[in-house]
Amino acid sequence: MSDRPVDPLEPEDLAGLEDLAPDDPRVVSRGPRARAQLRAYHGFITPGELPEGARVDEAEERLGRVLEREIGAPLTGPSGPAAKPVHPIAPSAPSQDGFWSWLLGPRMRPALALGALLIVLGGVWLVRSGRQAETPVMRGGETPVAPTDLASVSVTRDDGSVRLEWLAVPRAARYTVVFLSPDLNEIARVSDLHTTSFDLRTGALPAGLAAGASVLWRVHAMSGNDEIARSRTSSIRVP
Amino acid sequence: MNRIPSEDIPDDALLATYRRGPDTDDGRCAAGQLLGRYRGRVYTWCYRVVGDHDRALDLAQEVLLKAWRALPGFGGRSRFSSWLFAIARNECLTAVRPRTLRVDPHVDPVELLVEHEDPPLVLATREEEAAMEALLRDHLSPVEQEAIWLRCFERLPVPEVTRLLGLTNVSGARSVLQSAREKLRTALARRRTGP
Repeated sequence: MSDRPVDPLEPEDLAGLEDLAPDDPRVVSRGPRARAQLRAYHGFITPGELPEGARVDEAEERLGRVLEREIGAPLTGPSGPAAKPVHPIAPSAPSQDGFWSWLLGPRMRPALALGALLIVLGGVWLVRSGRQAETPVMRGGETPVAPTDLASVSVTRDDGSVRLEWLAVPRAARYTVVFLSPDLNEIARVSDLHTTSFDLRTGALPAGLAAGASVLWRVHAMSGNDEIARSRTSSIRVP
Repeated sequence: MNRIPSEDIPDDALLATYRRGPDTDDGRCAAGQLLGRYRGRVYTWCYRVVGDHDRALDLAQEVLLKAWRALPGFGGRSRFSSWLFAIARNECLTAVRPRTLRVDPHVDPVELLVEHEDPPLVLATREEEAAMEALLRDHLSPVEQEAIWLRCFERLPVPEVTRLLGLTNVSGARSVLQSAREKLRTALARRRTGP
């Protein structure tokens, strides 16, 4: 009988493989363990749809507090507690116990009378203006956008070119790199990329990009016509 | 350092700032940003493995604190993200493995794989691992190999194996695992009866 230890994963086991797809020959040649662990790593980097029951916001807030306390520095950045929306504090209201006596009390009677009058006048106006008030209003719901969970980075290389890199997304059939001006207007697009990088070289720039300009870029992972993930928008200087 | 949005600062740049002065305000701030940007991912990974919010939160806290304490020794031989993932993976694996892994050395590991949904089996040496990999390669399709590895050695729940493999069939990884076990059972029987 033996009590065997847990098989540890060393970070070096994944080094150099991170950007490769698990079915890349360089990964396949390493065997099932490397393929499976690389796939697990990609699942870690690109969490995808949140599992049912997970309370990520709550976890991020608590973990943020723990890290801030332990490290002794405030966390900043998009997932830090400081970046979360701050809800304005509501004006103080009377306690629940005294609410009805406060509402029906003598001090509120003029306001109640005025409110009742406004309701009556509003009803009359609605009747006179026909069915105008029932005209449906286009709320302009937001276009669904894929989660920004595609990890990406830009690297300036020794020869001056800029390499845009991103992690492979499971089920992605191709990638599209979009370039935006600082005021967020699209200025160039490179579609149907089947690799996880794109090089910007002087003299061979996509139409719309000017050498030396500061632009924003992001990459979209596509499956058919559906966008399944996108990276954050980052800035680069065009070589 | 704060002139560009912090989310656009690559991990390597934050690490470099940390290394220039681990005990300075800038260094601690960089470490905080680096670990902080992964805290949601660490929690989500832990949740996917253990399936319970409180347990996942405790595990994620342990992972991040371990990473913070080990950060001075991170040599940069891998990416920061794979280093952190290795810590998270090992911590979660320790949490979900059976408390005692007492295995009769006379029992064939393949038998454990075939007969147990959650086999009490750990590959303790590189030789055992190589033998297992060779066996899987010889008898299973690539997707079956990965499914078995993720389920039996990474100890991930079946829905997570389904997600990682991008399987869209109704039964997900369950049917792949069944088919793999069936093939291994046949291989085991053949091995017992000889060539």
